[in-house]
Amino acid sequence: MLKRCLSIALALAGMGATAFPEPLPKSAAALIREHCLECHDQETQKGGVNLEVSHIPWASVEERTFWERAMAAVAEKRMPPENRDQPTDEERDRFTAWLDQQLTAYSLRGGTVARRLNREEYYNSVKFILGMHFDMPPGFPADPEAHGFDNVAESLQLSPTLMDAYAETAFAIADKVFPRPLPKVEPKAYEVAADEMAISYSSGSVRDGALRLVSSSANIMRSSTWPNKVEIKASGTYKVVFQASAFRPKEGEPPLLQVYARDLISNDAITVRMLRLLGETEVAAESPATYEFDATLYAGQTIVFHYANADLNSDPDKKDQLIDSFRKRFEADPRYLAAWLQVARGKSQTFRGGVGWERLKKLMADESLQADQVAIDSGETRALLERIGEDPVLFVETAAYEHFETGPGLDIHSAVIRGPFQRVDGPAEKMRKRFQINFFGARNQRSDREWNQAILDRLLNYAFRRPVEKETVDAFNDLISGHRAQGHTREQGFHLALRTVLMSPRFLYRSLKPGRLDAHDLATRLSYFLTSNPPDYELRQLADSGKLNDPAVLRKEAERLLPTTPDASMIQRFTGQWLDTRALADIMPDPRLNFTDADADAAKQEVERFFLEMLQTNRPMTDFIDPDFTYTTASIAKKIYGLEEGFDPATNIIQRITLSRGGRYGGVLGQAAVLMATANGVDTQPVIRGVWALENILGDPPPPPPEAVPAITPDTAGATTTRELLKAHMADPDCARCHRKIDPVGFALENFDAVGRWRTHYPVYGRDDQGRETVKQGARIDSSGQLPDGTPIKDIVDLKLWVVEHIDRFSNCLAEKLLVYATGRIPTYVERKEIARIVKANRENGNGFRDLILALIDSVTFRTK
Amino acid sequence: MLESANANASANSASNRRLVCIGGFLGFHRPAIYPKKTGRGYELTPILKPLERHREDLTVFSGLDHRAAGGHQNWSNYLCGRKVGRISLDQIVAAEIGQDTRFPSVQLTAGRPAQSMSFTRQGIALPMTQRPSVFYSQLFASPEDRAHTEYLLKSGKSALDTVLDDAKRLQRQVSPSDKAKLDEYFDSLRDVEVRMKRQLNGVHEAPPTTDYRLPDYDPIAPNLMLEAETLMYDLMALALETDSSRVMTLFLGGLGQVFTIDGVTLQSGYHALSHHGNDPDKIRDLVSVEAQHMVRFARFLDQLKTKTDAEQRPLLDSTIVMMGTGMGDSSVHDNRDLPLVVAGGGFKHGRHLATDPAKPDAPMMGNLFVCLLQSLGIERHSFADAQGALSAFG
Repeated sequence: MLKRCLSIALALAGMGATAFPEPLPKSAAALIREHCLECHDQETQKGGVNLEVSHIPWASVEERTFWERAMAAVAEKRMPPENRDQPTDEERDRFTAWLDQQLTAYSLRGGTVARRLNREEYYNSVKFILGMHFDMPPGFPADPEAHGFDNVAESLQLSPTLMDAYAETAFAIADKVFPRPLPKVEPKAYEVAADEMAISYSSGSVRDGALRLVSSSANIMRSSTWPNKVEIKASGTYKVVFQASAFRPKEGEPPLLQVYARDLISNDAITVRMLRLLGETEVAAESPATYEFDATLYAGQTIVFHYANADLNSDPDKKDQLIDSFRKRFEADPRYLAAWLQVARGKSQTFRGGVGWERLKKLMADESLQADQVAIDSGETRALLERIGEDPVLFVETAAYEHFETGPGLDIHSAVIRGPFQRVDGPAEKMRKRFQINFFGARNQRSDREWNQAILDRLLNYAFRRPVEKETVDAFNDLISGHRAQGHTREQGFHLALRTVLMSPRFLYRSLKPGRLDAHDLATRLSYFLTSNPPDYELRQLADSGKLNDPAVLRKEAERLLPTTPDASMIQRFTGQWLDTRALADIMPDPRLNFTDADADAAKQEVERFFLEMLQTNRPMTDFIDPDFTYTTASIAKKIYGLEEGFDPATNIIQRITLSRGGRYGGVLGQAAVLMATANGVDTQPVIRGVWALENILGDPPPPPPEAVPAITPDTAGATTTRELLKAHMADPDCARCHRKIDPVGFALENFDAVGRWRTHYPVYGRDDQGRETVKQGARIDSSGQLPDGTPIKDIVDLKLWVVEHIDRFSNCLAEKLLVYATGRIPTYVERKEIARIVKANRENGNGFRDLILALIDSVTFRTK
Repeated sequence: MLESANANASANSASNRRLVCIGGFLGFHRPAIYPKKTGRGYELTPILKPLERHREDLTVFSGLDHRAAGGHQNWSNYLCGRKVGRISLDQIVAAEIGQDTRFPSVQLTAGRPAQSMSFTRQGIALPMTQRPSVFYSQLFASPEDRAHTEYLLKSGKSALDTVLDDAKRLQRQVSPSDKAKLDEYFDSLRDVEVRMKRQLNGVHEAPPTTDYRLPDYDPIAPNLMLEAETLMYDLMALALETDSSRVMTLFLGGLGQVFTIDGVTLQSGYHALSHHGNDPDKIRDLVSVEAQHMVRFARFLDQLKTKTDAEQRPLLDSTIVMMGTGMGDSSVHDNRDLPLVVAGGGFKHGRHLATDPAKPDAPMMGNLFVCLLQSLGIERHSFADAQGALSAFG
């Protein structure tokens, strides 16, 4: 005994700790002696726990964690085990009160270690300084996670790889805002022949030596053409000259040719409405005529030719017109209709595009085609017309080939683009010039050094998120003047300074001052918490004036910065990590579960929209568990939630729907995304879901499982249910200690399959004698159980009711998660007591979620580094 | 019939020094690429025909896959194994043998990069260079570009000195635990300094030069994809010849573009052809496009036979070149049974090696990857879910 204490004392002395171990009070020592030492003496140390001590070195974090666990075991009556002599309630209370007092006295506040910006915060912070988007290098490392979040300080290490990425980014950014001078570009002529223009799907065809257009669909890949080999090198004014003619135009309706500008490298799946119109002209002549106009083109662009008034169009809003034109053609030509009916009986691929048109022509020429049998008002014709309306793109792809032969069409014979005659600024150059004007400001007759100092003052102030000491500003000023002395330009000097700023620890780490946060660090913490961005100008002013320290001002700012849209960074990042919905992208649901990528995406959005409404409308915390609303799509409402009404089935965008309380679905224990994230896409494991719920909903995470225990895989044939396999847990008292908490929760969720669909039996998959997949009902799911406090539950509905009755457990859990996310550290014992006080006070005041967050922001825990 | 062998995984010493992986987005129509006969006497199929002169230097594999689910997005399992986002074959190799060259690995694409092909250990998809001119200027840096790099590196030294001084000032003001945390910063900064010094030395070495010239436009428009493919192959051959890189990937895209082959414009876009629904006309056009990929691939192999390494041996002798796909049947987005051709690398070639993926113990593509890794001197005995090397290949 003496030896152990001595060694601890020595260890502490070595660490420079000043607090000496304190002796145990008599009553505590007596309780331990009488009720614990049989198993937890020095000799036995059951479960690695040794309570045979006379002194406790409270200054040690490990010791405090250990005694906190002991306190919980005694308070929850998990210890001593049921089959042993029990202390009286009074003895228990005295023991736990003593531990609480010691833990409160010794546990520290704060202690977030130097916290570097994570990937997203880094991007946002650089963007804030520049006022413009930039590309992160592809090798930029991802952040590790700790305690469920990717912004926890201790795990956010700075590695050489990351530093390399910072350096690379810094180079690229400086090059972007202070680029090398543009090379001189001599005017030239880009000559384009008819066969040097893009054709995709059925957008055009080279006929009679010209590129023929026949469709006016908005999507340029389906209607338009552009010179393939032209990519303007320098932004400037150009002359566009082309030869065009009308091909069998409609009487009195000459083709209208529009010319647009587009970036050659941009995605082709764009519509003309997204492009810049350069000019338009009627092309009336049926023999080639020359047209020309002046145009401003930017570096990287080419021109797009678009036949704006073609009848043929596959846009959804033009489908009636399309159906009508097919109907007219069918009426006029029964052979045409007969041929279409015949090909439409086959697979759509066989009549798509030019291949389809060739087939139709062959059929029409075939004498055996039964054209007298067809009728325009037959069911089959009506069905075909309906199908044309449903999939206009498919039918236009084929019809375009008919139009290539019969018109009306618009022929582009050749084009020439000459220039640049005058250089102009493209969008990127304009943005850069704006940046530079803001960045440098006016000189106002100051010396170089004074002017630079003013620029650096502003730059460093915002980059480092706090006022900067003169010493630091001077160091940067010296850097610039030293660079200029070597013969470099002023711009190059700032190119270098900017690179340096982006590598500085004052930029990369936030809040380095220990203790209570000052106004600037408070602004930084608040801002990254609620927006993942550095403090904006308004917040910064309040920090500069010190007003932010005023709780009323802090609250007002918090209210201003709280997210207002479901795609806000805080909503995405917090829910994605708290409820693991980030994992959805990596889960491949078993195809038999009939859950598409679109469903998974909608499920994730459900969580985000739900969370946002909880926050924005200050919903009571109990609505997290048993709400009367959710957000979902018709697809999920029908397929997963089994709803028949209460939603609009005609649209598949996310909609808010009303639920009745006390049901299976809704809330964080019944949302498809959560149930999917806690399974593996194929089957469910009650232990995994149980542990997840304890950790993320009930705030009572069990210790890690013993090593070498295999995961339990349910037998899908249903011979042995998971429950039977898990019975072993309850038989062994060592297992039972945790599993009596884990298993009932996990089983209550067992009615939800791996994508959250309700089930009463496990499925058994097989094949019938023709090799087709079949599914049968296997073993019945037993979701009943008994919660650790003795409450019997039948299913998830009972579990939810229980959580609602004990809502503070959930609120404490969520509040802690929010603070981990906000502060980047695990709250200490005394901080968790503060959280519990806040949660309780909040419940007595309406229990609103928004109120809770605002109260947490004003807590000592939040305000301490 | 192939078997995977755990025990006697061929312990090749590093006979190979380079790896090139090519991946076709829309795959290859299996009935038109797979020969019916197996072994040495296999018949040349329409898609393999352009490779005729190289048949003794390549092996055709049928039936290999990663047991992955279907869908376009799972195309990327080609080099990753069953789970998209695991470190890809080329990146495993780059980490081992790529580090001594200017470009540890290179990712290129002809056509729009519709899928990712290479993934880092951390699961980050590496972007691909679509412009031949960009890759060209990286390979054969102009004097102006080199001067700029030198300027950045030289001035970078004073940037590092400035932050170092400032960080020291800062460290005096922080708590002991933060002091320790800031040590990470100092260590990393020193590392960057060493790297920049090394790079600066490299700048002074003359970069390779070439007489090769690109056209004055980048063939990035979809219709010019086949042209881009030709240029990318040319540049890859140059990169290997100058030992600028030893690990490269090339993605062959495929969207709605309508190709003109031998003067004849096809009747449908490439993507529409791939969804042929077994229509014979569409399959004919599709196969003609896929054979065009092989025409260019064959020209690449020609170049690797002509160009030599430092010891005057043909590059192909010590270069593994893989032409494959992550899509088994693009008509139905099936990612099983992936056609694959492996050329070069001194393997026993000339055969069609067939496997039946429906058999429960059939070898996987990962077993072949283990062979390739071992021949590159990388001691690996598994790849994704596959254990051991493919014994029939070596």
